[in-house]
Amino acid sequence: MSDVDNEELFERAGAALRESSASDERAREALVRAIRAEARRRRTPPRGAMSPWWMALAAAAVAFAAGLGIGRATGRQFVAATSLASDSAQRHVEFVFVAPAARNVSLVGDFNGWDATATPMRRTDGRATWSVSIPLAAGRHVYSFVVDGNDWVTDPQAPLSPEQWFGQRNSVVVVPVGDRRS
Amino acid sequence: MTDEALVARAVEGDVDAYAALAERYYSSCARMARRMLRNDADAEDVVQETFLRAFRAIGRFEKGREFRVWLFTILVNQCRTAATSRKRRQLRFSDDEAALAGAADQRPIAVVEEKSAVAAAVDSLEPLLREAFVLKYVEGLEYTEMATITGAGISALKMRVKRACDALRPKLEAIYHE
Amino acid sequence: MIFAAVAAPAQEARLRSALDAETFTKVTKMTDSARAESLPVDPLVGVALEGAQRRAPGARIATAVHDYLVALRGARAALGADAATPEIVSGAGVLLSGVSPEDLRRIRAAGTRRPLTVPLVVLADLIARGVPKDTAARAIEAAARANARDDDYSALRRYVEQDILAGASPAAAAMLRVRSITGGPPLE
Repeated sequence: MSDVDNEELFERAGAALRESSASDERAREALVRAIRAEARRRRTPPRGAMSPWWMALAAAAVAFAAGLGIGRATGRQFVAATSLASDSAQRHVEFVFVAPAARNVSLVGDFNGWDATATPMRRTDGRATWSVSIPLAAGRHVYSFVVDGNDWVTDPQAPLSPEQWFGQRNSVVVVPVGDRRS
Repeated sequence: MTDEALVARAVEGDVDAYAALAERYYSSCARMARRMLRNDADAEDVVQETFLRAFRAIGRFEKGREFRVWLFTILVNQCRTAATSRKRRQLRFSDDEAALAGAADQRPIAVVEEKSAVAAAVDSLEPLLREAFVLKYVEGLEYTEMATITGAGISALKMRVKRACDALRPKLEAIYHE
Repeated sequence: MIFAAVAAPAQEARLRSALDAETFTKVTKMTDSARAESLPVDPLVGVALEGAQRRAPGARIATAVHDYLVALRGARAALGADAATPEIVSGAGVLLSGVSPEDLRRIRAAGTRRPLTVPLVVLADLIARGVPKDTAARAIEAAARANARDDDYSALRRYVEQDILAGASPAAAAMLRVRSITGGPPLE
């Protein structure tokens, strides 16, 4: 039983709003292109049976969790854990990104003027992952990865920045001070 | 092919299967986003972001769950976030609202006018009432599904739908009895 | 930040080469204001350079820097003049997420002795993922009152993200998961 009087009035309104819009076709096509682009970025190159992209990601996360000694701005901790301290004001932090199909990946952030040419990342662990280790001052930093020179991508393992000044969020890493109180 | 079959393939990494799901649900997501954001460009961005997020997470999709409800949970949250962020933004550069009229509509004028009038009436509802009304009467969801999607209790949702209908009734009666 | 060690003139040189003349003038006016008010300047420079690299129009860059400056002021007012720079920057992000200055003050007043940088980063992330801002703010406030550590906040963020991706409503996920920190009943 309906709690609403004159139900058919609202059903009719609902039906009117279900009429599809003329612009959907174009947007739908753009979406499918975006999905395929995302899949290309994350999938292993086709050679025989393909494993799902997320398995590669999970495997990489497990592999890196076993590594120690360097603060990692990915995986389980977005607070860089330990460091190779050369001076008390900065820590070395390693950034890792899984993108098996990428041709090149660079790190951009508030520490290098968001310059995609400043901090290229290197393939590690076979071909699936990219990494780079850089000195960062203690505090909060925002960053992204630039894939193939054009696609700015957030770190899937890191918190999202609240700011989307230019239509896209970045990722956040916190580098603790030397004497961590927490 | 059923949603379950497509989802099962998508979980295994079949992009075509996921693309088919996206094609299937694009329109219903788009119309929900348009009602919630009242801006076609923002709605398109939010819908794309929703499908991309769902794509990234599809590997963790639990068997037995309903894809459409899961997708709408992501969509509703994206709409809420976008609405908050849009309110804060002061657009100093030119707003392209005028361009959002979209492609020329070739359908009969009467159809276009009815939809516009109804849309305007629904758009005048406050956000939570609008959200509940659209989920129930446009998307045809059950209250249990709406509860999963919005995080609100069923009785709260029924109250929102009732309040929405009470507010809409005079406007819709005026539209349909012209 | 590396930029902190770089003198203001060097920052200015980078901005000058990245921005058109009009935008450069507007942005440096704002960074000068920030410097005069002892507010963090690096985040403002960072936003301008990000905008330049993303090829955003100059007007949009100037707006972003302005909005960030306003948020930094608000964050320092809410967190107190003794707040550390990373806390102010994270607090600005939280205000930009729509959390009220009052809620930010309440988090400060929750009495934790630990820095608020990480809690505020997590708060902003929860909101970005769809947790209603009031719910998220109360969850973080409760965790702060329980004197949670950075690891606790990291775990909270991770679990809530997983729960949301598994289909839980963000609000329910946040309210439930903060229990593991506070040990209490779920927030209403």
